[in-house]
Amino acid sequence: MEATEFDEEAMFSAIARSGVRALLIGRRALVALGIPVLTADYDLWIHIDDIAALNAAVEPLDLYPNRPPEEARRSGRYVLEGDERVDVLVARQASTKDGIPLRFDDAWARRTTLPYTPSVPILVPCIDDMILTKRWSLRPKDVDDIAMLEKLKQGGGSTS
Amino acid sequence: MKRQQLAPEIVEMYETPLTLEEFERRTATRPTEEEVADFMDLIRWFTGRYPTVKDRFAYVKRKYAEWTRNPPARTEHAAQPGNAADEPRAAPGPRR
Repeated sequence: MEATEFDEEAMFSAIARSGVRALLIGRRALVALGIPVLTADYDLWIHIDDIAALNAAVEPLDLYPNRPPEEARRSGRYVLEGDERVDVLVARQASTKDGIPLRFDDAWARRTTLPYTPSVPILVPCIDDMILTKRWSLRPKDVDDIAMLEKLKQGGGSTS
Repeated sequence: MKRQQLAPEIVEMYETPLTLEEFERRTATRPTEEEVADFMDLIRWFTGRYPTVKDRFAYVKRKYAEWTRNPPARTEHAAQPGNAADEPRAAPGPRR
């Protein structure tokens, strides 16, 4: 069976229209800010009460959750699968390995809005919060990403 | 779902967690003013050439596909961690 082309704009447009509190995180958020790094991943961090709304918003795009909302709420994450894969974090808060917490509500309040297109907004954490999210997993690629985010912040990037 | 995959050795290199101590050691270095200025040149090039997020994602998708077809670990240019930041430097633009 031939894979169909994933309609990325339709996904971000559907999320924006739905009112779901969704932050793009991970490397793709760095790209959104203007940092040219490679990734194939879509990572979202959404409000824990918005799981069903997100699932309904992207269902017309043939993206389906791999587990029901109550189970996703218990495990703190799930995946939307179809022609693309979207990892969804649904934790009320997450902490770095050395115990620095980041609450979703606080990250949401400090969010930055970027134009996916002039008519479709995309929401990412502020640079300081994005640096914190990059300290969750302690991977070598996160070291590189933090260094780039620090440079962007020091250089007065448009969203710092 | 059709998705290009990285070579396992590259995944291991960039995804295997470090100890907290090693992570702290690696992230403790502060960039110099010159490094920040160079980096901001790169950002200006990228955001100027690809002004919307949609444009940037399309660029990354294209480069990722190229990268997975011919990963740096299998070429002389092996040091970049899944990072396209060096690529624009080779392209026409303000950097070189």
